[in-house]
Amino acid sequence: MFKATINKISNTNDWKLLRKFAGFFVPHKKWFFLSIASIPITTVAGILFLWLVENIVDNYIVPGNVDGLTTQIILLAVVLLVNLLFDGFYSYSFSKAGGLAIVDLRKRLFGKSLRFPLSYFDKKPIGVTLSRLTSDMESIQESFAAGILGLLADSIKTLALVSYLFYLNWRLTLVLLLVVPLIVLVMRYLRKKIRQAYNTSRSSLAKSAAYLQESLNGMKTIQLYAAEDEVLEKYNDLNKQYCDAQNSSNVYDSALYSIVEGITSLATALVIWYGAIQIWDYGFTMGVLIVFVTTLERLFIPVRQFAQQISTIQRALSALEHISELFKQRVEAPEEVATNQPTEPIELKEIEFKNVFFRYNEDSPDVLKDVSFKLEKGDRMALVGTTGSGKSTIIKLLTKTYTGYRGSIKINGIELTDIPLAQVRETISVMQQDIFMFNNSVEFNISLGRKFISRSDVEQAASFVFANHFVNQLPGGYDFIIQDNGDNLSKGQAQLISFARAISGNSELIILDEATSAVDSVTEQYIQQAIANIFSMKTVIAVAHRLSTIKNSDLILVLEDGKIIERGNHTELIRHGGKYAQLLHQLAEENQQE
Amino acid sequence: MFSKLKFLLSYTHKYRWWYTGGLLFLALTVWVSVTIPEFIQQSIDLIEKGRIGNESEFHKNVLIIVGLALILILVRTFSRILIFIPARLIEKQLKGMMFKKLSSFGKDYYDLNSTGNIISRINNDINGVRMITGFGILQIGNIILSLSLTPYKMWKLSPELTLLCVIPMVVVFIVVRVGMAIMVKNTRAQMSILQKLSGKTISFLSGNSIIKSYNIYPWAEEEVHQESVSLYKRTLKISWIRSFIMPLLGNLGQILKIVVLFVGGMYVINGKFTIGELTAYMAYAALLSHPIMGLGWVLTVFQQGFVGISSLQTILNREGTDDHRKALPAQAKDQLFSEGIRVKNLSFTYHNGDKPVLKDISFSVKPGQVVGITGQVGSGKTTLINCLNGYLRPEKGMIYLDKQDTADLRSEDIRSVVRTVTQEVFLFSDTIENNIIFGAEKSTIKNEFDDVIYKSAFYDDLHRLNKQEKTLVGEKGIMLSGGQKQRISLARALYTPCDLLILDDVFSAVDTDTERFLIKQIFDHHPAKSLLVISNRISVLEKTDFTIVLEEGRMAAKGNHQELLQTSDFYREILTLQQEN
Repeated sequence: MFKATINKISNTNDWKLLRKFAGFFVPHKKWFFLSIASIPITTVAGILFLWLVENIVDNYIVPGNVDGLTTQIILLAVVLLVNLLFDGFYSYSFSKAGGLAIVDLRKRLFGKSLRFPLSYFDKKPIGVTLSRLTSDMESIQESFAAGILGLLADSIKTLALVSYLFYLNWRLTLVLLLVVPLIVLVMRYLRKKIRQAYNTSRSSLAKSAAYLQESLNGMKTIQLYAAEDEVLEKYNDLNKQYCDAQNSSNVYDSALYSIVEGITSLATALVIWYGAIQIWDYGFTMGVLIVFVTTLERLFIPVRQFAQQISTIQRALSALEHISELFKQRVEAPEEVATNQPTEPIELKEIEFKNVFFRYNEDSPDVLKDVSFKLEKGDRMALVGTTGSGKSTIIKLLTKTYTGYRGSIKINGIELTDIPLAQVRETISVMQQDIFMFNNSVEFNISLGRKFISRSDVEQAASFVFANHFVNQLPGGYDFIIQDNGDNLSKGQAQLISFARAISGNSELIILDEATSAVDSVTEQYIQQAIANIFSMKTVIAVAHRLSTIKNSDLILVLEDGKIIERGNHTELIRHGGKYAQLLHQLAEENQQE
Repeated sequence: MFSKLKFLLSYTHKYRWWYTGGLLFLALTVWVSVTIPEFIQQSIDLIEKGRIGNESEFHKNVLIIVGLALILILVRTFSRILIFIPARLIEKQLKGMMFKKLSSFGKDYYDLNSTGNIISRINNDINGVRMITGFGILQIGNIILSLSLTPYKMWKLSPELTLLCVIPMVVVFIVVRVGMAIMVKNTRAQMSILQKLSGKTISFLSGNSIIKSYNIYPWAEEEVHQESVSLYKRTLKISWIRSFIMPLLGNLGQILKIVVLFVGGMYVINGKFTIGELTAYMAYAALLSHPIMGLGWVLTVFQQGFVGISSLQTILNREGTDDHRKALPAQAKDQLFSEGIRVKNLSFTYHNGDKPVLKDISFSVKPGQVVGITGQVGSGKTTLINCLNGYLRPEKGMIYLDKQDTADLRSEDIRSVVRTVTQEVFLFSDTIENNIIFGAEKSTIKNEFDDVIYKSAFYDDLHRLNKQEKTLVGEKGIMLSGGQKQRISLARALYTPCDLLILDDVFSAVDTDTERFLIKQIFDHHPAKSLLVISNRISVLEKTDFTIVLEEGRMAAKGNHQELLQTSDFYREILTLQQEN
């Protein structure tokens, strides 16, 4: 196991990783060095303690020297105190340095994760990124508090202890060290067994936990099929597997623990036997023997902890490896992240798409084909089409969520690729279909902490989109705390808040990705009025599902399979009697269904 | 306190012989480990006396130590095995019991307790019980035995010195206990901060498109950073205690060594002690630090375990939905649907709602009938069928099967008659086959698997999959579309026969051809004695014997296709819309 760890550490990739990580220590190196500096002090104090014990026995107790005994004992106590104090200091400042480095690391990586392109989160579940930022960080922190720490100090101290014992009596030390290979062999054999049992138990525990979660989620189905016993039986089976594996590892664990403890006694017998020979034949002192007998146990403690600490370090290394994924991942518009300058929105005059093609990657087919249209300030445009027809791709290109289109997209005659991302986002407000609410007040969810938006702006925006009616009825009004995902609001209410959020900034262009979910009739009325109000004030592009939204648009683009197949206003298109007319019927039925 | 001990006793009692054996071996362990120092003492004294005349005695002593050490290994191993194994068995048993109990709770419980919450309860609380019944009992045995035997031996050597040793022990113990309490408090706080941190991180990552488009990175970063810093502060507090307070316990042996060397050294000089007795005394003192360390932990284990037990008890003592209902005799069960199902003035209000969702609904479904239910979103369709299948429990006197009031029937009896295909499909991450035969274990009559697949229009889809019915569904398997899941769930319902089959909007997620096929299957082959179909499709509703139109929880109209065209505005409206298409 140790070898594997060494191999792992010496792996070039890991070195780079460790160096990168060590970089986070640099600002806190003070604590790190203080910690390292305490090691020699505690090591010396530890040895001094032994030396004093031997000295007291040989030079004071055995000869019967009462006078110096008190001073010697006080000295012994002081040495122990110094040892304890610096030991504590060592581990405290080490974990302080580690903790500070983790805080910086998390700040850096969280900030970075927020700036990953949206496509990253399409591919990776958020839970994965979350565990990188939380549990993996905790593993590293933990290894600082226990693993690396203990390993380093224990190794040095054990080495010093052995050297001192060697100095006291090298023959006796060699005899004592005879048991070390014995311990190592026993440990290796039992650890292998324990690891096997541990792996089985861990995988069966994971299975049983997953099954429990699944069953709780599906409890309604289980009950409706009266399958409670069937499911219980399976759950019990999984638990039995876990229990059996645990119990067999228990047997080995118990044996290991007892053997390591028992070996101390065996070693004592060995030391006494050989110590007698040393004293009788070579005239060694009783003090030396007593030091040996009473410090035996200390000698074996690190041996016992060694394996445990190595596994902590291994966990930390694999956590570090996970985290490196976040290091490597590119952010969108990396050149802008560094500056993070606030920008002014563009004063919108016109937007033009000219022969735009787009595909998600080299091998996939085009999802937008030869799309051209022009939109002027104050225009209202609706995108209509079935799922996958390319409506939302147009939006994603315009907001620079995806880049790499062919053809030309211009805002006020400037190519989109030449406009900084931040400025594009300042100019355009997107109201997404899946509405996101922060666990914060209504006011915050509208203003989003943007400094230029005052409370009265918030209230104005809310009443502009008819959100004030329900907000005023909430306990606390604008100070009402919305739960995560807006769990304590209805879907319709959340939509109205997201409308207020979008118009409260000074964005010139509003993109409305209409949600299809059903809302109650009163809220639906408010939503339609709110959209009408937004239409009257701003330039709007709507991915539309509501008939009312579509009807009120100046320009309707009908998309199919990435192409614009029809364009015009409502009356023109109805008269034309093509795909649009057909789609409207479907829409009407869908609305009714819901 | 008393109820918790009773709780523990009720589980440990079954394994009393394991525990008795374990404690016997433990007693042996303690006895051997305090006996060894005696022989060490004698050996050292023999060394001091010199070789002549003592050598054979000395060698005998050393051999005894070796023998005792070997015995020690053996008895200690047995004591641990015999005590830890029943703890695991109790853990297993408790998990099963909890699960059984949980599966007897209804919607009201699951509305109030999230899955994550329940799981962490099961894991942490049961773990707490395991710690008490295993590690806890071992340590208590160890502490009681060591703290009586070791001090006795020490007392025999020197009562005054023993008393002197008690002082540092008590002081260290109290300091460490206080430290532990602070540590436990901070660990809890650390956990809750970690939860907050995770919550915020996941919230901001999920909402990262909003953060991007409104450019509010600094705010989000600051929010997370604050939690991160307070997490760090807590961790540091724990680290402080871990660094400066906890080592006192590990070094108790060293502290005692100083006391013993000083006072014991005086005794040796005065001739009250031999040098061997001094060594033995030091060995005893070292032996004492173990149980003292154990005492510190065992209190924490019991404290946390008791919290776990009381939280387990709230679940185990909660009444299951059917606890007060009696099971039907087999005969009555067989003819439960002989007259169909009758609904009489049904009204229903959710446990957490203030307005009734269903108001005064009456109708009955006779064996052989096909009945439709239609209405807008939120009109109470799903609530109505959940009352019929016993998932929700309306008051007495509202729904009857045969002459039995369903309010008096156990859920399993209702479900032996009523089968529901719910709107939201639930599949286990298991093979398609196991998902379909799910719930059929107790059933004596099973339909032909392939036939069921065909009837639920899943045949083609299934044969397009590489491993066919052995294909895994869900996380580790294939991703199925909503319509495919819907049809697997339909196949599950058709796999064993039932009397009343309820289909909650199963046609919503399938295309027109499949819909037509399914309608034909269902109306021509009658997979159950009676059918109750929720749908807004006229193509389905026009084939029923009669359809109920729900509006805001009331029965607005009832009748067959022709009648409803006369009486229901809603029915006419959906017809017009669907005909236009």
